[in-house]
Amino acid sequence: MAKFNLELGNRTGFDGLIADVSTTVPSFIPFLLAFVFFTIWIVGYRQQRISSGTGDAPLWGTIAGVITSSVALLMTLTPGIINSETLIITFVVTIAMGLVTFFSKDTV
Amino acid sequence: MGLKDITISFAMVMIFTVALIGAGIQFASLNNADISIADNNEISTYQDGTNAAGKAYSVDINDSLNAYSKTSLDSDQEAFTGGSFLQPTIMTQTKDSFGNIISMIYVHILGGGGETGTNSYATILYIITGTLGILIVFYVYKFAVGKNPD
Repeated sequence: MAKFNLELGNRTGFDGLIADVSTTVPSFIPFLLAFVFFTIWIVGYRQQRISSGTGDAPLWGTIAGVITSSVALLMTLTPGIINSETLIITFVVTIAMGLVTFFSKDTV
Repeated sequence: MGLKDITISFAMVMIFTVALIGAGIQFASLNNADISIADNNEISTYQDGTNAAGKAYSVDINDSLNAYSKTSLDSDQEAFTGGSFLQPTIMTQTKDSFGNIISMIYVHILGGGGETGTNSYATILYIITGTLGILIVFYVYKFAVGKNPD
């Protein structure tokens, strides 16, 4: 059943607002983190291609993963925003991108 | 990518993994966060395993370097033809840490761990064998028709 004019909780502030939205819509935070990840990845890769002619997609994926992990870590400070599964998946995606990056080119 | 690049890549991945997970654990500890990456016991196990492999890696390298620097040759002795004292243990440690990282990726991203159903090793094996099957068909086609399958 759809919920309209949903009452916000008794938490105040912007983080309380996000926590209430996250409680009501559990998929909000994973999609937000995915948006951050793919935006940084695609925009960084395209910008590098435009400026230098070639783009390093695995490296930008790693950069996007590290930034997304940082955002996810900040979300752990307020209870109710992010759950541990989402946090761990964010970190493991970053590690996977790092693995691809380090094996995608000659390091020396 | 030669042996030098592969070894350095292994080491870099090890450092990256230990540093990233360590930063996550320390962040939660220092800020008294409600949710920590260490809440999952498997992550702590992977972190400990990779950490131990990294330490053993550095110890093995030191031992190998000592063995190398303390090696001497007599005047009538033939020179070494290979670096046998450098070979085995270093790759063992990198393999251990790499196995930890691959397990972590497999369990937490690919949903592995189960023995039956969709979340099983069988899914990945089906994909790999299916791809090999397609390649076999391509090469049979190349043999029969005499053209490049690409």
